[in-house]
Amino acid sequence: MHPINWLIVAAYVIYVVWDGLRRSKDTDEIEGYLVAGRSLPWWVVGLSVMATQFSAITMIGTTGQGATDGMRLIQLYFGLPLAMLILSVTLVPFLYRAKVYTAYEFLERRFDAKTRTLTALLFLMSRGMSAGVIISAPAVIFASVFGWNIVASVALLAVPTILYTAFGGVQAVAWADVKQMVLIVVALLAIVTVLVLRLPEGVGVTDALAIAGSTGRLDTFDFKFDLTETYTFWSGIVGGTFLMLSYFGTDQSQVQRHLTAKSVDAARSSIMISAYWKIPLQALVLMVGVLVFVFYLFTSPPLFFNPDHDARVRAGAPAEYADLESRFESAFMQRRGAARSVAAARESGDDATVERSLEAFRSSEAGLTAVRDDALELAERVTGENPRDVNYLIPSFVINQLPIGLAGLFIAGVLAAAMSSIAAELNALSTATVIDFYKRYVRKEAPDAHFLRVSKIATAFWGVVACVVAVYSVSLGSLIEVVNLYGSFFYGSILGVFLLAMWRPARGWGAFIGLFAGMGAVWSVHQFAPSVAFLWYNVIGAVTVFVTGAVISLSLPAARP
Amino acid sequence: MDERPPGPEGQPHYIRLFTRVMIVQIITLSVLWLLQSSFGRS
Repeated sequence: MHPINWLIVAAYVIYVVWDGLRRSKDTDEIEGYLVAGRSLPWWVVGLSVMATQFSAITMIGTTGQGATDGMRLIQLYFGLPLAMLILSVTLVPFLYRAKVYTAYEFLERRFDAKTRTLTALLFLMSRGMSAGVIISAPAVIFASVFGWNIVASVALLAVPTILYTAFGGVQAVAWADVKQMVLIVVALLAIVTVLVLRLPEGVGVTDALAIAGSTGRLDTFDFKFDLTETYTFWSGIVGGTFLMLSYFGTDQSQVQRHLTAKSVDAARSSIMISAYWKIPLQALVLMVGVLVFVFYLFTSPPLFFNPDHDARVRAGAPAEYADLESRFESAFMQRRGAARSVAAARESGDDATVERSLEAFRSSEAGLTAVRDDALELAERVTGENPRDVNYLIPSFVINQLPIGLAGLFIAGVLAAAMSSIAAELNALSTATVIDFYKRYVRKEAPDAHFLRVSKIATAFWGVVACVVAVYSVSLGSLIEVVNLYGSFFYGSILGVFLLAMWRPARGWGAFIGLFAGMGAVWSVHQFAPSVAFLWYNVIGAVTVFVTGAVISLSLPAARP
Repeated sequence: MDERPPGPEGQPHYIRLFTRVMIVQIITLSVLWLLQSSFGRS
């Protein structure tokens, strides 16, 4: 990459760390460090909520998915606005008025210590691992694209984040998130502008959309009711609502954001930013991918987007590589001709000609896909690794095709997206460790300075854990799947506990046993009906916990007044 | 964002929020639907 691009990336990293450390001067009390003294304006909290959810994987993986699979992923977010509305009138004011530091602390007040400890423990175990995954996913890509050692790649992402999170606390994290969110949106808009400007002569934006649309990439809505399909309108509306309710309403990395707001109304308004902007933003992300697909219709793409696999296959199977390369080049030329014919046919205005040209384009696209499939099969044989390179598509495009400066801006945007998510996780892990375990079981009373010191140590500790998980998860590929699966086992169940908390007759034992019943139900579905899509796990978990908890609570003898 | 008291008709302010959020979503989804129906396959 050009030195100017590196300069932009370096300037961004230095600025974020410097700004975070500067803000650490204002945080000498535990309330300031953990919930920013409950003083942040709604728009800061709202942008922080969005930045937290927008990870590096969104920036490179989701855009890549837009290029290969189109817009349909967006259905996952259809339940989000409804979830935010529900949260803004239920859990958000509930937790805010309780003046708690963690969502789980509230569960002890409402139920008992065992329910609090169990939910906090589940959070620590799952998030401790997923913080590692959040670092490792972009780190692996950076390592491959820039030819770095994985440890150096993990360090670039994690060390600056640990520094400003540990010293500055939530205050530094939230203000950094604001800048990171702005940087992310600017980078995405800039890339869309470049992609539109670089359409070849004779191909307009609507031609590009028609070509992409003919491959199904603009098919957003799938109204089929099928429990085994991951992304459908119904799984998004029902499963997505439950997923977003549990993520935004009960996950400490999100709850800690709205606890920093200066009033209930500010907390409520902050989460409404996501209700308004999440779907349009996600549409922008996927549209970047769709436009990159169009870009590579007219510019020759590499055979492999993963440069590491490319080098290894070229060295390990030179004859097969050369053969595939020549087949790929000729399939590309054919597809490029077909794409140009679509634009010309649309210009002519004759529907039958347009339809014929689209048909020819689809057939040439299938031809190119078949060669790519053969190439990926060869890569799997030579490297012994998963050959899917969807996550390398956008980095490869950015580094090789974007003008100087813009590539640096985009890489800085990826770093921003990664850092904002990592920082939120570390911040939340540290808070839950100190408030739900250390202060609860080890040392109940101590000066603020003591808890502040312990919080900083806890942040650094979780940062190191995340880095170790990140480095090792590279060699334990399946670990990522385990972490995701484990998360989906209890996400809905924890939501069920919080729903019970808002129902007056619910009792501690009901919530505690209900939590196990919910996780058991999800595990059973996973075991005996593995084709059920994961979005439904959240619905199954939450409903089982609520029903079991309600039945147990009602069957217990009435509590003494 | 919306710190006004309940509306003159006694409408609680989350109803106003709901209405606004739904309007934004309907606009967004309409654009996506328009893209799908004009250029998509299905």
